[in-house]
Amino acid sequence: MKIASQSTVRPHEGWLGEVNRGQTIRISGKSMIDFICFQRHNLKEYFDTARTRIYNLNIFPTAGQRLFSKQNNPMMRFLSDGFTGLGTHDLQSGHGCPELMLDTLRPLGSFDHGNLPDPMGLFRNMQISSEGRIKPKPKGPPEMADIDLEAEIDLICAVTNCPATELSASGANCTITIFGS
Amino acid sequence: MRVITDDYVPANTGWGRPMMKGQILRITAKTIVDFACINLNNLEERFDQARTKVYNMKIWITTGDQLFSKLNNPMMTILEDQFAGTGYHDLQYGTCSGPRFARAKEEGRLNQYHHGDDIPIPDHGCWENLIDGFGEWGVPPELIPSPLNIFQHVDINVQSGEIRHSPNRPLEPIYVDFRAEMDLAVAASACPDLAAPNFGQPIQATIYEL
Repeated sequence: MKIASQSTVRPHEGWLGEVNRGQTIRISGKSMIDFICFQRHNLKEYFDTARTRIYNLNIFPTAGQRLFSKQNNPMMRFLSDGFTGLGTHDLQSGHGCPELMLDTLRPLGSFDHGNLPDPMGLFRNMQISSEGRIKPKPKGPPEMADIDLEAEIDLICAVTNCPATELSASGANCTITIFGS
Repeated sequence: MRVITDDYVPANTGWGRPMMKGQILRITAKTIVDFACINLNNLEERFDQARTKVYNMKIWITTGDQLFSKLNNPMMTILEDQFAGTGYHDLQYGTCSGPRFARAKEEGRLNQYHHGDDIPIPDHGCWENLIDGFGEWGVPPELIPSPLNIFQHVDINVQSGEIRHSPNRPLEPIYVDFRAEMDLAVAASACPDLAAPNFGQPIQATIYEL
C-alpha cells in the first residue's frame, strides 16, 4: 500500500497529524505510547475509552475491535496488533504524561488538563487481578511491534512516545506511517 | 444526622444538587445509578474514572476509597457501601443514552447488552439525565464525565478482558454514603437499566450532615 507519510517520534516527543477516512496509521514502537484522536471537523468529538470498552465489550483494545467516540460513533478499526500474545494495551489509566500530550495538541488550541481525553495506552501491559487490583507491569515488546488503525472518518490523531519516565519500558523511537491516500 | 435535602428521583430521570465539603450524600436504590460530580468552585474540575482507578490502584471501589478528579484531587470518600459482598460498582461503562440504545438495536446487539431483543428502547438514558442533573452548572454533553455506576455489577474476565453484563442488583433498596472532600455539584441518573430484572427504578438522593 502507498505510503502517504512517515515520521519518527523520539522518546518524550509527540506527533500530531491528519489521517483521512480510509487511510491506515501504523504506530511502530516498543515503548509506552499514548494515542488519542479527534473527529477532524468537530474537535468536541473525541476518542473515548469508556465508549470503546463497552462497544467492544472488552477492557483490552486489540485487533478486530473499533475505537468509538464520546458521541457513540465509530472512529477507527483496529486492524492488526503486533503486541498480541506479548501483552495488553490499556484503557484504564489515563495519560502517563498529560503535559507532553498537551504540548503536542497545542496547535489545536482548545485543550487543557481538564478536558484532555484519556488515551489508549499502547504497550502499557497493565495487570488486573481477579479482585480488581491494578498493577502496572511495563513490559514492551522485545522488538518493534506494529499497531495498525484504519480511520473510519477524517481524523486528527496524536501520539506521545514513552511518557511515563519512571515506568518506561525503553527509550526507543516510535515510527508513525500513514498508508493510503 | 441533619437532613439538608431529600429527593425522590423517578426512573430514567436526572437529579443534581450542590453540596458542601464535609456533607454526606446517600444514594439509595435497587438498580443502577450513574453518578458524577464537579468542583463547585471550578466547574472545569470533574470526576474522572481513570484517575479514580489509578489513585486507588483498583478497578472496583468501595468503603474507604476515594473519587478523584481529572486534576488529581480527592472529591469524595466512600464512607459506607451496602453493596459490598454482593457486587461491585462499575468504572468501565460510559453512560447509556438514546444514541447508544439506537445503535445497539440497529446492530442487533441489544441482547448482548442483556437488554433482550424485543423490548422497547428508551429515547434517552443516563447521558441525557446527567446533562439535566448538571443543567444548573451547564456542563456540555461531551464533557459529562464517564460516571461511577453505582450498583452496576459487571463481570470482567481479567485475562481476556471480556466484559459481561450482569443482572446482579440489590434485592431491596440499599445505600452508599459519600462524604464530600470539597464543595461540589453532584448529579445522578436513575438508570433505565434494561439489564435489571425489573428495569429501571426510582432512586432516593439524600444530602445530610452528622
